[in-house]
Amino acid sequence: MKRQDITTDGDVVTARQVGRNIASVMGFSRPDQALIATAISELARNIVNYAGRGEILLDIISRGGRNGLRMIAKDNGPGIEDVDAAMCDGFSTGNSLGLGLPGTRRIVDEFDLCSAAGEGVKVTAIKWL
Amino acid sequence: MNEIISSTINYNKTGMTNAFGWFDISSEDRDRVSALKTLVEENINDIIRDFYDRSGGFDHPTRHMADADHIARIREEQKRHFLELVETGLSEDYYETRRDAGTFNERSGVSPSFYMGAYSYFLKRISTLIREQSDDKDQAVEIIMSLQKIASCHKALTLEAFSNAREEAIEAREREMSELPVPVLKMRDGMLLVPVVGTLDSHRARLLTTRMLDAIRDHSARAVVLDITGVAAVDSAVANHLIQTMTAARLMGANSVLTGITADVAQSLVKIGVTGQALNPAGDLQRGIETAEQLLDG
Repeated sequence: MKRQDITTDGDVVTARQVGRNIASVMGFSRPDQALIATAISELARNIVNYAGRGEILLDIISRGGRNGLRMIAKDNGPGIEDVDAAMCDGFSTGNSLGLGLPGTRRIVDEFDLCSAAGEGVKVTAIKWL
Repeated sequence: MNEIISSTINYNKTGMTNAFGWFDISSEDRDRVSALKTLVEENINDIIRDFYDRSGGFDHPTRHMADADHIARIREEQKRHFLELVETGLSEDYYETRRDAGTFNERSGVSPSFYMGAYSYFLKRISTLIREQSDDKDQAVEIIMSLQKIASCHKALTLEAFSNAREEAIEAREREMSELPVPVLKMRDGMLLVPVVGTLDSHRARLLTTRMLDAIRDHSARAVVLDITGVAAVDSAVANHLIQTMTAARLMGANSVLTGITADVAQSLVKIGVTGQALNPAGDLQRGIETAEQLLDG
């Protein structure tokens, strides 16, 4: 399990690179490695932009004979008031494209978001090999 | 560089009191250690010499330090470091200098293991001397225990300073990287080429926008080729920066073309949902320049 504290843009880059390396060692194809790196990047970027600090946990998991990469992004920031809206393309409370969360959901195979206003955000995403 | 380090590591007297608390150091401990001053001064040169002359099957760090001057500087610093332990008895002045020791270690490539090894050798030798020279065995044990406590504190603070100095060095390098210049090249009258290399964090993205818009104004450019072949990863935030920069350029009367989107980046962008239109992509650099020329001529 790899853990990366996220507070700065630099940490986003580090988390993304670590994720890409793990994906490459696990045997993901190059395009899949890029997708995983992008997903981690989106999740980490959200932490920096909205919560200020948090962490990314990367883990190799197996289920039913398949291996997968699990990415967990956790923070104790202000949380997401309207989770359904946050999952819609183009919705953003910041000045962004509003593609981070819905985009990440399209990239990965399993996606789970837990949050409420004032309670931080925990996103779990899994990409199967 | 040194200023950056000393300004970011702000130690205060509370820190020192805390450290004494953690290591359970009393004023008697400090007095006992200060009383060792003459003993250490008389023997320090021999001890350091012996440390370097020891033979054994280990890979001696000095083998990696080819430069004799370098080794001499490290030996000098070791002497100063060990003397400071007994001279100041961990006073507030000491608090200042120990961060120098940590910084010194980081700078001169003295690894924590080498430092701890040398320290342990020093303590062993001094402890032996204390035992030999003392008539009262119990008293000798007390002195050695005080020395151990203060030495642990000394080592801990130095290693902490070492890791701070290293962190600072890494951060400074990152800052330098993020200040990689963003060159704006004039291809021909009215046409600019902006090659982007490395990571586009928000700081560099802002720099890119400013530089590009300034150049458009200065050269009265009407077409800009933005090449991102050298950008390793593009996520929605980076795409957003690029779109905003290109939109701003358009408002200033310059059409921009984006080139150098690799196959991996393209697939990621599609998956996240960034559409091609806003980015006005034109394949590779050559096609981008051709497209820009059409924009100029047409």
